[in-house]
Amino acid sequence: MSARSAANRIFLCRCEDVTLQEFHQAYKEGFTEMESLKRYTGLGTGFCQGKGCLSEAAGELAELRGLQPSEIRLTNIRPPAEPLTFAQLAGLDLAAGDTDSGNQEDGA
Amino acid sequence: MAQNPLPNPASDSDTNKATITFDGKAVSCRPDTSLAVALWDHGVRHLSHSHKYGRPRGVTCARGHCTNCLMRVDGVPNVRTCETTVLPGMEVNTQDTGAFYGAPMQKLLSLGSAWMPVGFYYKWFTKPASLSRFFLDRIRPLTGVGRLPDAARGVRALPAAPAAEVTTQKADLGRFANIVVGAGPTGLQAARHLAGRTLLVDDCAIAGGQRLAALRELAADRNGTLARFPTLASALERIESAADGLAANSAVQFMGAAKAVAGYFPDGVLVRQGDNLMTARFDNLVWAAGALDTIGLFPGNDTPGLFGPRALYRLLTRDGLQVNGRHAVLIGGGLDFWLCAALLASRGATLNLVVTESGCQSEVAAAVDLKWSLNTGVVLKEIKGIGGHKVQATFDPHGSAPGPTGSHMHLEADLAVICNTGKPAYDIPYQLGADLALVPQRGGFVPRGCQESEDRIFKQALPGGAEISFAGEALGLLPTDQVKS
Repeated sequence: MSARSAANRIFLCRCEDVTLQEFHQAYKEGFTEMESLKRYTGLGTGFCQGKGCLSEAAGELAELRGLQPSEIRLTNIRPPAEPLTFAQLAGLDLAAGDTDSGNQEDGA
Repeated sequence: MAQNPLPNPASDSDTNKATITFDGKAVSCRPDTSLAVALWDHGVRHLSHSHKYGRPRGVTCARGHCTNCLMRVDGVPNVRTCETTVLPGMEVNTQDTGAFYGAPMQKLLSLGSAWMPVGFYYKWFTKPASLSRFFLDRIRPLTGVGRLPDAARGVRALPAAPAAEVTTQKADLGRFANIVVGAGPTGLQAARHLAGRTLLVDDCAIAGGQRLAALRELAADRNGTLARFPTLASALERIESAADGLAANSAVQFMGAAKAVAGYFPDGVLVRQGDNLMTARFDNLVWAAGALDTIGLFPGNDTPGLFGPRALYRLLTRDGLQVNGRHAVLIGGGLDFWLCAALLASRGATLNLVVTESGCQSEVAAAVDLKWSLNTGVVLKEIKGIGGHKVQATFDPHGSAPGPTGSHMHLEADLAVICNTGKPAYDIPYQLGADLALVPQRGGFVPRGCQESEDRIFKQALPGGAEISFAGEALGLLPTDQVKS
């Protein structure tokens, strides 16, 4: 990549510095699901956990694959939705078995 | 580091300054604001560098979501400076590679990153697998990643977590018939009509949300700008009446400056208020959390000084960002566009408006009346940071309107605000197991099937047996739409 095209970087994921070009490159290399694209490029694994990029990336992927946007499977998103300290979590009074919510379907 | 709820809104207590240390230098700033805004007012716009490409980054979301404003505060790394109130004597340090090698090395690394091939960071140094441990141990540390300050560099080491920070009181709020997340007009109207014990949570300190804070400030402005924009005046009236209606339902408990931060149980959420983290259970979760700013995909979309409208409301009304005499470029349309414009103008900023939507003749006429600089019929091409803490937005003339400088039009400003339709907040419903689908017409992830319905409230059953109801902007509706019960 030349300095000129570097100046034209379009950031898909700002937390992990994943550009649109990197996303397209990964797709060309055979990563065609949101989950594998996430693992390969690091997209959506940063501080914001995809708040900034997942809908944009899913839209891009739908276009690349020629699918309806609603057919794109989301990646898993686990709690919490923002960083918490262990001190805060330690203050919770949880009952046994209080550790699970719905979004765990493929165990990934 | 304590993330104190911020005072609201900032007062003119300029005589009452606090002194903090920023990268070894004493900085005098207002004590009633967030660290990020205090540094902005001091002329520090670049708060961090991105870890791969070394891009300068500044405060972006202003709600503790993103990486861009993270700094080391009193020795604690990764503190969200946009949500941390200034306290006298704070020791604030930038925490990226620049902090270890100094600015010249940071610059060199940024220059070098321009030649990095696409995919460099996740492909190189992974093969052969037998050497990856060596790469990880030897090469990664060279970039400064993962290093913490040590005494030799004159920075205090990590302090032990004070025991007092462990929350032990009121950790469980109990079970509610309804938990309403978001006290904007949608959440307020929903809460008003719900039966049973109801908890209403919003990260804004006042019931009504961030737009109400902005609209109230505008209404108090003596120049009468609000009266020139009927859509803004009616939005104020609508949200105020929704806020008034809340008092009519005594079963509603309002928690301001509080956030739902996790969908952790099949029928419960974690709520954080300041440093206190609490559990709360529900039979029905009303998801009226609104939308997130959509900046869009264009070159330079990570430039410091580039904001969405929601971030701008918080920076202006919550933190008192000083924009007097600054230049602002606003791009987009809709309620947020005109509200941001009016708010910035009432704070003394010079405006340059780029209107991308049609059918807002009355607003355009008002803007012409107010002698705001207006552009229409152009398409945003690129935004980049240029010297002197300025941003430059470049537009392509579109259709018949030619740009002032040949084929492109450049606008320079201290800040650029992009007012697109927001994307619905979706993370906690998804954590709870809601079935979501990407619907571009609705701006992002919304409950599957909602686009086929005209309903203003869309219900779904959660796997745990509880129910979730999406409403308002979180359902992809426009902020001007109203919930009808």
